[in-house]
Amino acid sequence: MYKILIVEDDTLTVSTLKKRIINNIPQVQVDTAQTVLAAHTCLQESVNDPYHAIIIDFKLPYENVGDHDEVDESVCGLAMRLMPNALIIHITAWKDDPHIVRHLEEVHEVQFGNKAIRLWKLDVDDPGTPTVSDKIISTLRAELYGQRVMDQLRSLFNLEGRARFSSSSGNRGRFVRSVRTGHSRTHELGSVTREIAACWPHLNQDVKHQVRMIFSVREIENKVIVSLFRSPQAQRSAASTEHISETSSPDKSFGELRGE
Amino acid sequence: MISPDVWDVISTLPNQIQSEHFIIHFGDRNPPRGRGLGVNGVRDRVLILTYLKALEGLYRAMTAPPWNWPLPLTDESKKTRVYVCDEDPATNYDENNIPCVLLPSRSDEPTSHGELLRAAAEAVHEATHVFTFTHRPHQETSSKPWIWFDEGLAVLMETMVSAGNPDYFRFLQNWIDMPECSLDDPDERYQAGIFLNYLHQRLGPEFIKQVWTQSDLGEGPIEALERFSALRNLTFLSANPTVQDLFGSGYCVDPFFMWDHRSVAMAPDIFFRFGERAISQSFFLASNTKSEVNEDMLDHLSCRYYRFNLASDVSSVKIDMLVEGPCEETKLKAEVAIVDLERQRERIVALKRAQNSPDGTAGLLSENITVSNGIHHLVLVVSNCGKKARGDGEMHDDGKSFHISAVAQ
Repeated sequence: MYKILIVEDDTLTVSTLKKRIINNIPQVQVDTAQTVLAAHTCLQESVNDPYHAIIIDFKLPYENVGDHDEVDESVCGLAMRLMPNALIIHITAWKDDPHIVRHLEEVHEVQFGNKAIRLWKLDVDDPGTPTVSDKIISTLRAELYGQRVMDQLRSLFNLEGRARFSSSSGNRGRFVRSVRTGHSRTHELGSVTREIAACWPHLNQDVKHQVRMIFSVREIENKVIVSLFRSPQAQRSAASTEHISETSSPDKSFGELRGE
Repeated sequence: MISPDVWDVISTLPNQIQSEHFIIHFGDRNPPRGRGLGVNGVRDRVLILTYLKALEGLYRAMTAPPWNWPLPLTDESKKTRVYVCDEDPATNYDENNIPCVLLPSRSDEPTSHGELLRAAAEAVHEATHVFTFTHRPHQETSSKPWIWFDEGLAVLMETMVSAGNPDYFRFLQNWIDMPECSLDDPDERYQAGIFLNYLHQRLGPEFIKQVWTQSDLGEGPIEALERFSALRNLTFLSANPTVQDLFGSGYCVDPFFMWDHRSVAMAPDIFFRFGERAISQSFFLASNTKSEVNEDMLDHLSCRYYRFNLASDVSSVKIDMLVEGPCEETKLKAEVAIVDLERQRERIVALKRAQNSPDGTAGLLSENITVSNGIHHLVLVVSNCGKKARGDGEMHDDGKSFHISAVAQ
């Protein structure tokens, strides 16, 4: 179940966005807050079950809908403090407001070293281009599905071990050890491959690269087959090109890829 | 956990041993010549030969009567590939959806004997997944509700093919200690082996195979069990006290009496190792005394046991169980096993639906049990014959609370 919070005072935008998210992302819970105070309450009440993504309007009334709205950074600040792994998407109609520009540059890029997704409400009016909600949906899919796939990979594969050993020795594959539990991993593997196959079209390149480091991914027409093993033919083919792929594909750990 | 570089290791395993239906790829820890494989190498060939023997044993069992399981999918070699390295055992598949097996190159068992018993059990377990994969591939969404049944079947085959091998006991601790755990709890899926063993004893392997291979793709295991039980004029799940259902009146009651030679769930070896299943509460009843359980609760497809030890002056015991809602609608079933001095069940008595509260918020199940001289104690078995919801908006039959009282005369 994905949890998403929309912080936006415009009722029509909230209802449109909420409807589109629910229609396009399965198993999602969408909460909404229309004031700064309501957003703070939502965030504080969800600390133990954090949001996966938070969509935040910059100009919000403090206490009551309809009150004068101000540029607010407190919701974003609280969200980043309480839910550091949540994806933050800023939407605003005031793309040139210096206060907003400063927040995106200084808070997200300098202070926290991550880039919030920024989307401008005005794009909605631009004919021939995807709407803001289209962009939000595609961004949410890529990030949320990617998070889930990576969580599953982390729970089953010793990715941290790989990052540590590959960065220190540069000898991929030889020294990365698993921590064995003695239990069959058949259905955990089935679950991961099922998840990856279902999410594959929406995953970003970083996650796809990470998946391909472990699994064979074969796309046939509209079907994606994700498998741990390779067929004998594929093995022979891989063996003949092994030295080429080793030199042409640098071994980046997930941490490096994500800039962590 | 599995190493993310597992394929790098697998693809460089230098040795192969083949049997009639399997090819094992492996390497040596200390080869006579060349570089050793360390943790990914085997100490010697004994482990590999143990794997092969167990794999072929499973193959024979699955393909011969009475199982007659369809042959597994294979590549052009017509054999199933098995890779041995330092990983947890697992079955997955290749790009052509051909199942392959991963088996460990080493073991943390303290003795060689234990190591080989574990090896045989793991090989049988994973090879069972190779057979079950054909009808329900692991990566298909429709296979997800069947995971516990698949694991239960793999554990059952361990007990059958590797007869006398107690390795599956490692899955039994929670089955013994937590009977209140749901049968289809995904976190406790290996203990379903006991359930599959029970089905096997009562209805034979044909029934289990029928449930797996003839169920519809969108059907869940409980629905399939209900459907195929009905074809044999049996009821799989029913809280009705007049119905002897397979789950509540069978699987919840019989395995408590593992020492009972008349029980289909007789398992003296398990009883010797673990004792009887956990009892939620025990009482001592003398004449004209009353005992009560304040409140207990059960999730779907689970049970609890209560023991009433009886003084010699007790001639009858009246047991009441108060449930939520009208008793005709409750998913809870209560049956009393009357146990004689030799700890055998003399008979089973179900608590009948007695009455409902005027507002319909509570129901009473009740029975007055006559106790003769040869009776040692009573075991009350409360089972939840409800199910996990399958559709959106439905509720699991979980958290069903009840209150028990017993009065002795």
